[in-house]
Amino acid sequence: MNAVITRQASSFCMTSTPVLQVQHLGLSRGGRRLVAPLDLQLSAGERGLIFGGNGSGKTTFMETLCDLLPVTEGEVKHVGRIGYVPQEPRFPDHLTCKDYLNQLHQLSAAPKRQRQPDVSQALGLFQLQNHAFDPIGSLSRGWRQRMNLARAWLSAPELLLLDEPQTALDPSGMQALQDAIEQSQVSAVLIVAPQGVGCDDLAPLLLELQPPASA
Amino acid sequence: MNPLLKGFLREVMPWTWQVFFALAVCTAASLSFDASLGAHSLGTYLAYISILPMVLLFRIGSVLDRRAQQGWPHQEILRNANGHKAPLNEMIGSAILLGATLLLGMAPIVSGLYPMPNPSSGLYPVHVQFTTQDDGTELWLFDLGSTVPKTARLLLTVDWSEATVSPENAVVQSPDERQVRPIPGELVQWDLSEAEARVGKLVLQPNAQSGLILRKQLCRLEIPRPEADALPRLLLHQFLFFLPLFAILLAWFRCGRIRGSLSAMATFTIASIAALPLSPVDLGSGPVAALAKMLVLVKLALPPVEGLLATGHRFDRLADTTPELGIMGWLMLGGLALWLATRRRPPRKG
Repeated sequence: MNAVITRQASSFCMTSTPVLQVQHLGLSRGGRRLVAPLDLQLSAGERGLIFGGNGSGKTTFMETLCDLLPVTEGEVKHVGRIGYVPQEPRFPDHLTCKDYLNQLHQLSAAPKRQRQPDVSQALGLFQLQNHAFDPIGSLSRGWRQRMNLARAWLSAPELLLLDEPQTALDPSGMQALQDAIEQSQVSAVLIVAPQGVGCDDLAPLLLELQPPASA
Repeated sequence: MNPLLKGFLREVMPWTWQVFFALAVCTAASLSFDASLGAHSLGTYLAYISILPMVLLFRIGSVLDRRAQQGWPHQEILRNANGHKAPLNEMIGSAILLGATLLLGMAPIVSGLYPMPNPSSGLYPVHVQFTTQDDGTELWLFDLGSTVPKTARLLLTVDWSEATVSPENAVVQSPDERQVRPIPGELVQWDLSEAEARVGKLVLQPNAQSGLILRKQLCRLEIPRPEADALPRLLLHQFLFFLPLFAILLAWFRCGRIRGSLSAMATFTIASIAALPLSPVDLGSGPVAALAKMLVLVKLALPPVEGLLATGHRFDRLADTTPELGIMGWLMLGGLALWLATRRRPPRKG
């Protein structure tokens, strides 16, 4: 058994329609199963935290949830758009923060009226206003992580998936992240991170992933 | 202009590339029309200009690769439920850049920087040899090899030495009863009908038992050279030729999930085959002939659009020979490719 469910996900369900439903999702990498089948459900406004150590399948889980990896076992259903904070973000380094977010804002399938927060609000959420006209490639690791977060929050996705969002953030960045999560009334937020790295208070614990026995 | 489109245009064509394209056009004009350097040929100029859309094709391929490394495909999957925004913007951007490149190609001529000698005065038409058959029944069968411009005409030399009819009664006519009167000592000039130009084959018949003999070796096809003012139309033809290729590039990249540079290479191969003029040549046997036959089969499956890319020394013969149906078919192929490119990407393999 590779996954230890510390609390039933269903206990977090509220009355509204689920934004994310995961049923018997099996994860494997290189033909090897990472965790036991997972069940999870999140509705709008809900938050959840999943702990997992190195190699426990956190990133594979998140990438499967946002359609970047195919579902090989079980079922994943989500409603609306996803904001994803990858652990290792990739950016067009030659673009300025504002230009890049403007383009992503345009890419959003949501009608213009519903695309809140817009670019300046997303920059403001993570105190990036002073870097709005800096090329992304010139940002430090911590500011790039803030861009990673701002990118996910842009255009009000219905589901926010944060893979180790605390990476490289200073205390002020952590505070901005906490504030942003608390202000996300509409979005459901799911965070994966190792235990004890500063994410423990960001959301209620849903379950804990453990690495395969032989890993 | 929307930020996505603006971003794509800026990324594909930064100022360094704009300068490169402008210099390339100036060089093309110099090599084509310069008083001492130039070949004084519109076909040469069109050949040089046609290189730029191909460069653009590879440039867009490399930008697509770079954007893939920058995580754009992930952002598209996350943000766009139906996945058509990015490819549509890329297609529109490609069309704008293609149009701008070809407009740039008009600049040296329109600005008067390089006044193009007008070769269309009729003094220097192109004369092309072709196959003439004689089936022994006094039918003159002409095979022009392929579609020829509607403005072309046949110049025939007739030997009167064994004629049994007087010049007043001599007539050469086609099956649709169009006719011309041959005059001793003069070339017989036959203006091609639209159907004859399209098919590239025709049959003429002199009076029965007239004794008029066709000098096959002296038969010529005369094609007036397109005038200087044909340049916008010929560049528009290039636009129509290249536009679907950009959609095909996007389809390879997005639907086929092939790297951008390889997608550009595959598209370039299709372009080369589509631009290949077919002529009746016995290919023989052997591996090279088998490959050539395969290319011919692929070519036959594509719409006949080689006339849209009329360039080089044979451009006079190819220009304005593309049937409207061929153009429609080619554009529809591009439309199909664009539709494939806008289909949502499936998740990559784990």
